[in-house]
Amino acid sequence: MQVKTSVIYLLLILGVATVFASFEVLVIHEGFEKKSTHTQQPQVMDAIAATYHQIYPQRPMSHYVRGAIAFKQQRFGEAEKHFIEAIERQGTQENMLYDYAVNLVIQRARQEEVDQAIRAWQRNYPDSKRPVPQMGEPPPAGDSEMYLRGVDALRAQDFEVAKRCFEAEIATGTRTEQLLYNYALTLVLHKEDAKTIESAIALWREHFPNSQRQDPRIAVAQALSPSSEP
Amino acid sequence: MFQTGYILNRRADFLWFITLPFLAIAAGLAGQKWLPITAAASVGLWITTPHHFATWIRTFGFRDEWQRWRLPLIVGPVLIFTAIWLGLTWSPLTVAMLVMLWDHQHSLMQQYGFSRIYDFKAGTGSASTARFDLALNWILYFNMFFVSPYWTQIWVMELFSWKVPLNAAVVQGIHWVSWTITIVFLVIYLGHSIRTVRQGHRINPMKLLFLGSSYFMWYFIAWFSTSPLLYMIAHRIMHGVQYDVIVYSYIQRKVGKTKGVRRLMAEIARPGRAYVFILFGLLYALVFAFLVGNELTDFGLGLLNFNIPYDSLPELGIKHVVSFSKYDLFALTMINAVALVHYYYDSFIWKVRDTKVQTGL
Repeated sequence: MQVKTSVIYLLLILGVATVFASFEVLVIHEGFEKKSTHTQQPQVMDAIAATYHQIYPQRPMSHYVRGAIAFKQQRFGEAEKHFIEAIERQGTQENMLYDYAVNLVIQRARQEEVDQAIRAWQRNYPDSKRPVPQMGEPPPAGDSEMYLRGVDALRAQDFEVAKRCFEAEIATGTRTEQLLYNYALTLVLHKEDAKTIESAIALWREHFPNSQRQDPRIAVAQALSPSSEP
Repeated sequence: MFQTGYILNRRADFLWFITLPFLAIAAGLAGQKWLPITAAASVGLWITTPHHFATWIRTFGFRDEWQRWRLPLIVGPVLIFTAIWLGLTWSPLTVAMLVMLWDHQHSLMQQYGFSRIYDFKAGTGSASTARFDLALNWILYFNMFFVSPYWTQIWVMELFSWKVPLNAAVVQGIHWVSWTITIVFLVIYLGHSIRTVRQGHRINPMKLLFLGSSYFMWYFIAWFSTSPLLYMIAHRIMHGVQYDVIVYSYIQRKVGKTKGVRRLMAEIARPGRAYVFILFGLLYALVFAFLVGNELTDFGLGLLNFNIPYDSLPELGIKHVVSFSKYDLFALTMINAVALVHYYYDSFIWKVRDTKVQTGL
């Protein structure tokens, strides 16, 4: 009898979990995503931040969520203040330490400050698989304002604006690899038709046939695939 | 009115069941102040993993228990590993919720089990005391879960992930209801204790001391944790060490009263051979660590992380920070499924009212 009861107990738990899992797959996930992106939507993040702040204004996580929202909206200075508040209140979750460092890098803060933030993150998470936040190549001297606006829009995932800026820059005759590659990348992320993407990639390859960069279509597919190597 | 009874003996009980929670708080506070967060993974490796090993040896080490529980011992792991593998792939929120809730239930049921052993040893309490103790543990534990800052932030985030509409007023309402239920029940429990004494039964003060120190620790760390470190170090030390202590005591006592015991169990149970039990646990932890590799840092930390809303920052060379490979999936399945099998086995192998279990208590 006890044996039978113990098996029924397990089946009951897994049965209830299956009901929740079905609900999660059908209702919570967005489209074909295998995870929920609900808490990454601006209005939901605002609701989380407001709830946390009203109940626990002094907790590190309350400040971190505010910082994350500011970061997403590219208010990097405000994000920095919140991240510092979270860390000063002994917040040691990886996102707090890591995002603080990323935020400093994006703002091109003093190297000493960036290094200190990275050391704090690495001291707490020595085995983290996340890459060390650092600017790739410094932008070549003379990058136009239009190109830099396109890069900012790409970072903010505003692909429509990025596409327009890069096209305007290409129209002036600029042919740097960074510009041509980022343009092709933007088209892929913007889900343009295959012919347009192919022609942008052909333009990049024509000018930089020996480039070591990965085809932007493959790069995006790998970056967005949940089963990709981090 | 009082009748004192011990699980092990006076000195050992005071050390392992009364003082340990306070030592665990001290270790947790020191860890929170001076250690990197990955110290939680080390505690998971050297305390939590060996306590899983204690379950395996206590379950599979005795022939009679293996024969008695063969069906759930085989079917359980197969179903649980399959469910976790599928769940991590398709419904990670469900897995996180299942693991978290079962872990909480498992933790409170361990303290309930010890309180039952205290009454069994001292012959105290009335026929209804078991039910009152069970309710007391559930209410005290889940009040801590619902109202403490540490856990509130976690369950609020989880509910938002499930698209449950929440705001501060709703959360504060839940806090108020939880405190009300807890205070009312504590008055009822006091009434039950007075009635028990008036009916001629006695109360084991060690049980009350044990529950008091356990819940003091849980409430303290749930209010003073600013990072997962304090909670994970203190909770894991108390839960894991107390479990190892009762399993070792169970093995020793059962071996002394049972015929045809396996050689390994007889060896472990010999006086002065506790180190063999500990060494096997540590060896198991090493093999487990080798299997799951660096993913040990995810020993519960993944559950508590809140991912920033960017998937990648190409200019910084940062890709999808939440993606994971097949090996990660395997490692996470191992960590979560092994924990669930441990919770599942414990749900049926420790019944204090079971006369076969009583031979080892």
